[in-house]
Amino acid sequence: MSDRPVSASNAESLFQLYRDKSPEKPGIESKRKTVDLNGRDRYGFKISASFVDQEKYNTWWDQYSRYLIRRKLKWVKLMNKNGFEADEDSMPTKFPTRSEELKRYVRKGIPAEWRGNAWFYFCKGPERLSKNKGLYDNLCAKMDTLDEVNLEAIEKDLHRTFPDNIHFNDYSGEESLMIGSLRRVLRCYALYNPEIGYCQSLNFIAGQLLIFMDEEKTFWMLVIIHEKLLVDVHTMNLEGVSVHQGVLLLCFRQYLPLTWSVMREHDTINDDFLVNIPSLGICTTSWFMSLFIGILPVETVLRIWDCLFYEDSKSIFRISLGIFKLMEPQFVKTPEDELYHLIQSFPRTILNPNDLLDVCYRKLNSISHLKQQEIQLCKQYVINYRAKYKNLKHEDNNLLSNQERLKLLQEGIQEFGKPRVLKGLRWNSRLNKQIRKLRVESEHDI
Amino acid sequence: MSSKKKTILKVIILGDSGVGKTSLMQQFVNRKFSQQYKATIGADFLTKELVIDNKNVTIQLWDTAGQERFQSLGVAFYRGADCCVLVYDVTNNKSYDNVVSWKDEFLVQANIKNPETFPFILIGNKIDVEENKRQINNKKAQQLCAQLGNIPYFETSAKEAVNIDQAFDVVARNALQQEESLDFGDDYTDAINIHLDGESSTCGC
Repeated sequence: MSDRPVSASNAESLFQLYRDKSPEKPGIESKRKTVDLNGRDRYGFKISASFVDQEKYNTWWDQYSRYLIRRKLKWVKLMNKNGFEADEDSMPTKFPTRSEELKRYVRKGIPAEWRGNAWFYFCKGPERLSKNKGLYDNLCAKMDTLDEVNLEAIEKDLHRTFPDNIHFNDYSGEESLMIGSLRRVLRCYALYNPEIGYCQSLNFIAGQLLIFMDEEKTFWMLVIIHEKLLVDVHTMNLEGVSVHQGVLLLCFRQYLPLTWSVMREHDTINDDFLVNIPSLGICTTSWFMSLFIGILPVETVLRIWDCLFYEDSKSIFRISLGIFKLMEPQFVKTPEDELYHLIQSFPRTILNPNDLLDVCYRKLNSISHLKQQEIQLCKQYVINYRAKYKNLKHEDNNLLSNQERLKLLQEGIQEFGKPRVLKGLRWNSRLNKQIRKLRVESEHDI
Repeated sequence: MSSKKKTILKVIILGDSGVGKTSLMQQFVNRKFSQQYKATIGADFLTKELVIDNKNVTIQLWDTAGQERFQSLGVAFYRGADCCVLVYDVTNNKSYDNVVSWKDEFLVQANIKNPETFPFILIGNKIDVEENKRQINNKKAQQLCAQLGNIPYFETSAKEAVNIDQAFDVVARNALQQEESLDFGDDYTDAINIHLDGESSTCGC
């Protein structure tokens, strides 16, 4: 029936070693000790390959694992309260209907061994799967027909995905099951969505999903992620990447004025920052493309994914703003040439997920006011603006008369100047001056 | 303005996916090699302090993603570059064939003012492999360098740390020369010509 080998549900087998569970006997913390599997975390990642030293990691983990056990017990209670049978050892496949309470629980972290099922459930994966029975198997059957360029690109990245994870390491000359699954998922997705094909960074997303769910579900998650969270981000021209960076820059201006003013001060941001994304703005490319994998420590990424899959695309921006918010005290006093390094290295130090999630979701914090509607309006604006400018530029930017340029500017302001859209956010202050100047010039033209 | 500032040399490393850009950079900056580098997404940065002719400089290396589609983000990455390192894998014909298009793409995207004088370096990496796996010989590579305007050529092994310092010494020197020539010419060469910037408009009379 299917070409793919049957493998045990990944989550089941991987988490046999460790669960967020109270110690069997009070006082003996046997469970917690099992986390150190020859210097690896519970997902099989080498701790030494992470961004902090082992000692710091252990100190943090000792605290955090207690938190996880508490949260797990609360989840069990929540499930029972909602009429679901669950205990510490069960692997539920269904979860309570969406509610403020459930959202709070998700933001505080889904139990690790439930994650695969919960992500899939919250993303409405089961519906997609049942409507498309056999689709993945059919793709698997013809996956070798994928074009040479994509096949080669996928092959190159298979072993460059999680070389520091034991499940992605080949042993005694035999290819690991995970590598095989990753290859099939990426090939099938490339066949399924030729607009994207294979794009580097999909390997990371698929790879991390595979740690928590089987490959068919991973495939559907990729489909859903591109509809829900990362629209156009991995397409051939990566236009979605630039759009996301543009939206993020606008968010900086609105929600992190201090960071924004430092960026401006360093003159890395020009007036046309939405069209020509500045270098500083592009440093966050991989945050979006790989959904924070490799940017932040593993447990922090997983907590973010809990929120991303339960909520909507605003979460990506809230989290990005949150990282910058935590970084701001350092950001404002770092010399320009070291800012790139800071943006790259700082996120790796956010070992405790709660530090970041508090900034993103605590009511008192302005970032928590960022709403989905704002993001959508903002995104639409950036898309339109870029499309318009790029078209004109394509014909020949130098032939653009002052009148045309003036029109472009004014339309930009009109579209964007609506009072309820990102309140307080206006086109930059130098713009009025420029419009006046252009107006005078265009009158001369006539 | 820049005499007060410390000298920062921005160097872009380009080439096909998997030719060893990350490895070269890691070997040069951190003196280490691993078989286990992850694929680079977007760009990674590393810096290293160097002394060139008694002058302290900071070399800022930009390691980029090798997949072709990432070139559409090139403008943002290449802006203000002082030198461009083109890398291919001596065991991979295709990566060699693509060197020319990487160079052209860079020149277009970075909006380089004087393409003839802009410093490029060619690196053929992975010379540690057995001779029979090698697809591009030294002579062929030298011919390409001549064709590209006599750019310097180095054959390296990031794995065994062969020729790395020599290559990057030339990179740094040429980048410094480029940086100084720009200062001297008092040109503010921001790559982008801004449609919103009133000053740059040549009033179409």
